[in-house]
Amino acid sequence: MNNSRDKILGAVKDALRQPSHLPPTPQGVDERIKEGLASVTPNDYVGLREQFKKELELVSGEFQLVHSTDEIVTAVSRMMQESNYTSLTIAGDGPYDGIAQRVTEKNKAIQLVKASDYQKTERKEKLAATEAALVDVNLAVADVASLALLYDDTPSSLPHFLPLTIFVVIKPEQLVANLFELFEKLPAEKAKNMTLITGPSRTADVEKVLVLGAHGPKRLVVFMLEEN
Amino acid sequence: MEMTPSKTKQYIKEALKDDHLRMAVDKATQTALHKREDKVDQIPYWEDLRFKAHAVKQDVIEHLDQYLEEFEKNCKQNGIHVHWAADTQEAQKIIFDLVKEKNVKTIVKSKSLTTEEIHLNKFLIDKGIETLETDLGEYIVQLMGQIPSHLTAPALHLTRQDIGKLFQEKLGVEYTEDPEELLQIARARLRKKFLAADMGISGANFAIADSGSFCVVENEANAHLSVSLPRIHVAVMGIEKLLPDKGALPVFLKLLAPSATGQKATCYVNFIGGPSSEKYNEGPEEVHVLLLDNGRSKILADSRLRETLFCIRCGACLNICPVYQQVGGHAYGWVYMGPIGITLIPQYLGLVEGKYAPFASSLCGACYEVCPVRINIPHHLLKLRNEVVEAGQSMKVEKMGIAMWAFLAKHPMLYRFATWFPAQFQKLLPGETAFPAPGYTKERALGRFDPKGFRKKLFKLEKDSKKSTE
Repeated sequence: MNNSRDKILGAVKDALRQPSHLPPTPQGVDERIKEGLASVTPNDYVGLREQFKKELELVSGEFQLVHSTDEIVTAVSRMMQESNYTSLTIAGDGPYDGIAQRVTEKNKAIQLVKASDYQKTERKEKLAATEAALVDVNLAVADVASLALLYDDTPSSLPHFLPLTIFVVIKPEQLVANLFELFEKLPAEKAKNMTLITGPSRTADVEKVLVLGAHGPKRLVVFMLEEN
Repeated sequence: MEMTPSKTKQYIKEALKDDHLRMAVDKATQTALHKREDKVDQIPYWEDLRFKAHAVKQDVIEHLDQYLEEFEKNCKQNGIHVHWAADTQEAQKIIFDLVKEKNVKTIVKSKSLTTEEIHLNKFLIDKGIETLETDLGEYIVQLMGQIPSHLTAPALHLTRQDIGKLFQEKLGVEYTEDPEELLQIARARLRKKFLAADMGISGANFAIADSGSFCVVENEANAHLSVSLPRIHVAVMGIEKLLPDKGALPVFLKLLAPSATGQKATCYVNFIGGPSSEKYNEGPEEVHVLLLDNGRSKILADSRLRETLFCIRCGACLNICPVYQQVGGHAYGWVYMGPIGITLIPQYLGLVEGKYAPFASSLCGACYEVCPVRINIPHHLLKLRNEVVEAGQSMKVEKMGIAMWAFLAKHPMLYRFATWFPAQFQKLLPGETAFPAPGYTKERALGRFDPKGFRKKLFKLEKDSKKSTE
């Protein structure tokens, strides 16, 4: 193995002795990107929230502005009933686990599945069989409607990917303007293990026809919780 | 299906006769182009992003040795095993040794052109290891026994009817051509495989040198499940896939999605920075990164062509290419196709095997215009054409044609006669018929010569121009 490593690195070093023939990069590119970004970035929270909503809906996600956790309980209960779902999963130790508990208390037919209660093999089997999940994420990106999930900050990431419907709760302070701001804010160590999620899973591999629910969720509902 | 770029002329002839294929490719490429244009129009700083991406890639490629060593060091700190493979055989051996050592029976794969390049599926299946593609398009072409026909849309050459018949025949399900139902059939089968698989194999869109992590970009969540459900994960990546740090990611993520699939952002961007089983009680117990050379250091050695290593495999150059639009991906006879493919084929496979590849282009320059990292593909094609000729690999008929033209160009009277005669002789043909050109006119129409000729027209133009200025 070491032989190949040395051989490849040696070949790369030798190759780089040849000087480049590429033209220089024009001046001012970084500044123009910043200016361009500023020109399409709303300058207040409401603008960013509306941009996030618009972009989320364009990728077939659903957005609901709520002002209390009660509203989320009511909305999730209704959607669970409409879909005849009988199981709701949570990662465990999350800030919104209480909402999921209230949903299941209100609807006795719905079973609450806490991912962190299960060991590895049992967990994936159990979660693959659940229909919905109520989860949180770390940050949300307004200009592309992406949600950033850092694995360091959740006891389980599988609820975000295995069930058919995902309910995500975010708060105004979690909203950033764009991917540039996101990667600036993310701590380097935590950014090593994370996923950016943009809408429900999808494919267009058959004649470019868009179909949702490829191997992950088919429905993604984001609640923006604005409490006072 | 074993394919080779040396038979590309034959594949092109077959593709040009296949209206069904051309219809499928045309529909898919036009859809992708319109969606791309719509997204690019929404990013006023698009051109500057392209310049920035080019500059970042130039820095990485021209300091590749340093970035590779930095990436390796940081991967090891994160608990990632790093392997180096000089060629296909070594890459296959490394993976198979792992499979044996870890008692792997089933592998789920997410889309990776690099693993296509090393024929990994066939190799593992021949060794008796169940190896399943999980991206819907890849699953379809694997069932079909084909290779992908597009860098990002592997089954682009197939219609829904083709896929319906395939599923009926291979999976024993009732015929359906409804894309939703076809997906559900694949999802149900593959979900079971994800849960049972011992190993997941992916590529890597970008590897981040200063953090020792890599990311896999996708839409279906199959890559995420390939990483998070099996106990071992292996990422196979070319040595050129590095970025210096996470600060470069927004530039590349913003360019990749519109260029590849006409989206503003892909559905999932998965970052893997080490084994997570112990830390999170889920995810892989072991993560392996295989750094593949397989000819890349040779490409690097040619400073005029090394820009072709900047490619991020988005496929935008395929969609816009008038040649690809007519013949589809299989006509190129290799895993990399379209404009970028024809620059890579002779560089990876040599000037004998790849002698036709650089000529499968109109040199219109559209590929350069859409390339998110500004690779000057037409320029590289000219250089490669020159290399093919210098190596004595050009076609006989071409050599004769050029020799004849060179002779006539040195004898002006003969040149005049040669350009005047065809237009006169053409008058003898009935109606508006053009000259028959055996072979060429079988699939295309040849235009008629203008009876006035270029010289006469030019002289008249000059005369008229003089009159108008007087």
